[in-house]
Amino acid sequence: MKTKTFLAVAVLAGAITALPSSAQDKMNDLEIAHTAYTAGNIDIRYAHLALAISENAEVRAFAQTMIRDHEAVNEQAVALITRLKVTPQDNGLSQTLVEGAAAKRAELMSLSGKRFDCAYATNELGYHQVVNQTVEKNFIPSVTVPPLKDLLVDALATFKIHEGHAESMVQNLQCRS
Amino acid sequence: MSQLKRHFDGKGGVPLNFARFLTLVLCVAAGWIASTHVTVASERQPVVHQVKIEKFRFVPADLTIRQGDSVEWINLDIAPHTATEDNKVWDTGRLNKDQITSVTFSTPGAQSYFCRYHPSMRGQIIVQAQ
Ligand SMILES: [Cu+2]
Repeated sequence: MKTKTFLAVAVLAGAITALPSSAQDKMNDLEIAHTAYTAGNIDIRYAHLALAISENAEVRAFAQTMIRDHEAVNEQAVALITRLKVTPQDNGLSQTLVEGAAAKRAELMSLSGKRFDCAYATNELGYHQVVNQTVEKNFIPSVTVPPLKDLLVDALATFKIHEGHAESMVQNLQCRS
Repeated sequence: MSQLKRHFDGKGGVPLNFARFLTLVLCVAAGWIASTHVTVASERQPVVHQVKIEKFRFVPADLTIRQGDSVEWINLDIAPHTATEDNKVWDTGRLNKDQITSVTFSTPGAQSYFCRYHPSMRGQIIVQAQ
C-alpha cells in the first residue's frame, strides 16, 4: 500500500521523485501489465486533447509521436497478453493514475494557447518522469514472466526518449519566463 | 545482312567488299560493346548495406558507401521510426517493428538524415563517386 500511496501523491502533486526501491507490497505480473497499459492509454488521451487544442507545431508533433509510440507499445502488450492467455488485473495504482489523469484533463481543457501548451508540456515531462521511475525501479525488478520483462524494458527505452523530448519541448516553449 | 549483301552483289564486286567490311565493323562493334559491359559489371556490383534502428539509434550512425549502392533500414524497436534526409530529398516513410525499406544512392556526397518522429535520432550516409 505504501508504494501506491506514494505514487498517487507524486502523480497528483506533479512531484518528480523516485519511488523507494524497498516497495512493500509488490504488485503481481497481471497488475503490472494492467498499470503499464493504463499509463500508456492515459498519455494517448492527453495527446488527443493536445491535438484538439494546441496550434503549436512542436506540441502537435510531440502529441502525434505519443499516440504513435504508446499505441505501438500497447499493441505489443495486447499481443503478449493474448499469447499468454492471461487477463491483466485492475488495481489501486491503475485507479489512482486514472483519477489523477481525469483531474489533469479537466484542468487542461480549461486552458488555451501558450498556457495550454506549457501546461501540457510540463505535465508530459512530470508524467513520464514518474512513470519511468516506477517502471524502472519497481515494475522491471518485480516482474517474473520474461517476455513481459522484455516488453517493459523496450517500453522504458521508448518512454525515456519521450521524457527527453518533453524536456526540450518545455525549454523551447519558454514556459518559465 | 544477307539482303543487304544480295543487293550490293547485283551491282558488282566493290559493294561485296563494302558488305564484308560493314559486317566486320558491326561484329567488332558488337564485340566491343559486349566486352565493355562485362568489364563494367565485373569492376563493381552495387552493394546493399544495412542500418539497424535499435534503441532509438541508427546503427551505424555514419556509413560510407559507393555511388549506386543501396542502404536498407530495418526497425528493431517497438516504436515506429523513419529515416528521412534533412531536406526530405528521400524518406523511408514509417517503419514499424521489423519493417525494412531501402534507398538507392546515385548522387555522390554526404547526406544527413534524421527520424521524423524522434528528431534527436540522426545519421549520415557518405556516398563516394564510382
Ligand atoms: Cu524514431
